[in-house]
Amino acid sequence: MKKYCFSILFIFIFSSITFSQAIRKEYKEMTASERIALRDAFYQLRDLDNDGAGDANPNDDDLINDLGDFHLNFFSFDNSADPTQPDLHLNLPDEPTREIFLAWHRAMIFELEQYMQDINPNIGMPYWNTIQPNGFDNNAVIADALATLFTTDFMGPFDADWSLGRNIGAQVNALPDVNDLPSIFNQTDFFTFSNRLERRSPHNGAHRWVGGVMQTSASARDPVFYLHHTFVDKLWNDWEVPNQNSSYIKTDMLRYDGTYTFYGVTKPLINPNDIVDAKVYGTFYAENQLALLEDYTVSNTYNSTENFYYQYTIESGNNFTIPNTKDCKFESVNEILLTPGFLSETGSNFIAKIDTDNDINTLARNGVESKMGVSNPFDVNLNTQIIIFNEELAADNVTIIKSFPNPFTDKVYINLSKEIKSCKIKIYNMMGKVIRSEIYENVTSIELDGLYDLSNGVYVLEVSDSTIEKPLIVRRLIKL
Amino acid sequence: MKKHLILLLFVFTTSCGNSLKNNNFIKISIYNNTQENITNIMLYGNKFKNLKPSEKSNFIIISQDYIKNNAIFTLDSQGKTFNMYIDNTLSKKSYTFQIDSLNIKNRFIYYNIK
Repeated sequence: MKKYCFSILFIFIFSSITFSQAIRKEYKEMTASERIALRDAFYQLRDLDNDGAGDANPNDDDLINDLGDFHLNFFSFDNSADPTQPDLHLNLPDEPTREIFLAWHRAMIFELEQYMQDINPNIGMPYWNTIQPNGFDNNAVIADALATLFTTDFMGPFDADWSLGRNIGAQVNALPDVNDLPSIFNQTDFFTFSNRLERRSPHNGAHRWVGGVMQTSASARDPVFYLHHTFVDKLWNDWEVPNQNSSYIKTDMLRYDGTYTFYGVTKPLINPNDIVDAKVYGTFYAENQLALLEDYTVSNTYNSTENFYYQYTIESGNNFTIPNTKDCKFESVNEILLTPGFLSETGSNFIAKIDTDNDINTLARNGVESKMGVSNPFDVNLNTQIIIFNEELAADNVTIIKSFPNPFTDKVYINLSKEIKSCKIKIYNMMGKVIRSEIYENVTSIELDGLYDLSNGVYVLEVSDSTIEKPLIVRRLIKL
Repeated sequence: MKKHLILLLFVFTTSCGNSLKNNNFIKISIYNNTQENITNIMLYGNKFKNLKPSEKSNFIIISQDYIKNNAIFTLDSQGKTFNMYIDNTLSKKSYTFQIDSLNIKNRFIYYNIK
């Protein structure tokens, strides 16, 4: 009997999955202090040891770089010399035995979130709901994103600090609208649902719309990647709850196969079938100012106290249990409701707290105030090949035009091989909007300055002879 | 035999022509405007031949549905694989994707559509 009980205990310990906890909310529901805490945590994840400039080996504790490179290196081998290699994307519909897209990204976000909770236990990954109303105005969406998402206190600074090359909103029709969802959500077969979700605009739209590294296999270098994929994860959760039909053929995943080590920790094997329910990770998705916590048992497997922090209403009941000896805290700026089915057993430790000073506590690293602005660009190749494309030149044109530097940061010089009586210079952004237009009289060289304030990205330079109203040269330039 | 070949050719060109007249299909080619060899090219889920510098591929006919669900540009160059999400709203009947530059660090494919 003793041997039998020991065997059961052995199996229990070594088959349990690591738990954590989080209320994941739409980023617009975050408080000001939550936004700053998340931003700072992203910076700190590039330097877990907090070595700063003195780090002899900066890559061994740079989680963002590690996850980013992994995502890049295993993105897809479909068209490679060996297309049978396991990879992360585009395995459906033809290769279901290699499919792990949704589960892998869920594990990836959870891994990052755990490291963030080492910095601040109240952090939960927020999501960016990219679904737009039918017939949306792209310019309005850009304005909203610049005013709420890509701001200095949130996702904005990473573009320059990490040289991400964002080009927000340049692909005008990239973001999904409400009409894109039914054909995905009405699928009852999991692999059909997953394939459509991955390939269509609810997933690839944000990648294309943000631009820069987000548009490439290096997309996980941009912190907004995690807000976007947390939304993709939420969409999966929204489908799984009524369908209860997610199932994988694979029983392990790249990186999460018991062999990969980062920062001294070997990532445990994760069977994707074990994480088809988001609550396995203690993840609750809040929306419309309500976080509903139910059907869950606090375990403290990862954290000594499971924290659930949310600005708005936290409502808990319906089989939410805190067992004897377990520790749990709810914290809201506004309201906490405990309804029938909520149980904090005798011997458990439960705190329900109203955050009266509306401060998630941005202190990190054992009481040291978090630092912002760890300028830490990834390896960016500044020797980018000059991009030149020549539109139709005037038939009688013999003017040779040189523009430099490219990429530029502040100004562009234009040298002409002969004097032009009236030379018109226009700069277009990638939405085709003229952002600068000037005419120079009797010139052979021009210095276009005052370009520092332009957002990083791709622009088009057009040089014309005003007297004949025809472009002499059209050239694409890059602003860093 | 000759008559059979002519008949086959007629049927083929007629049906291709009909496909292109149908707005659901688009012709796409790729031009390598870089100084590097580019291999293992896949665009909108269709494979293209390897391209040396200044080389252009043949046109491939691709359906709009396929474009919409496979909006990825993949290629290999300089020992690296590039994958990039690209625009899936093509409205004309024919396009040439001119690859102007490749950023190895960020895996960005700079291209121009003509």
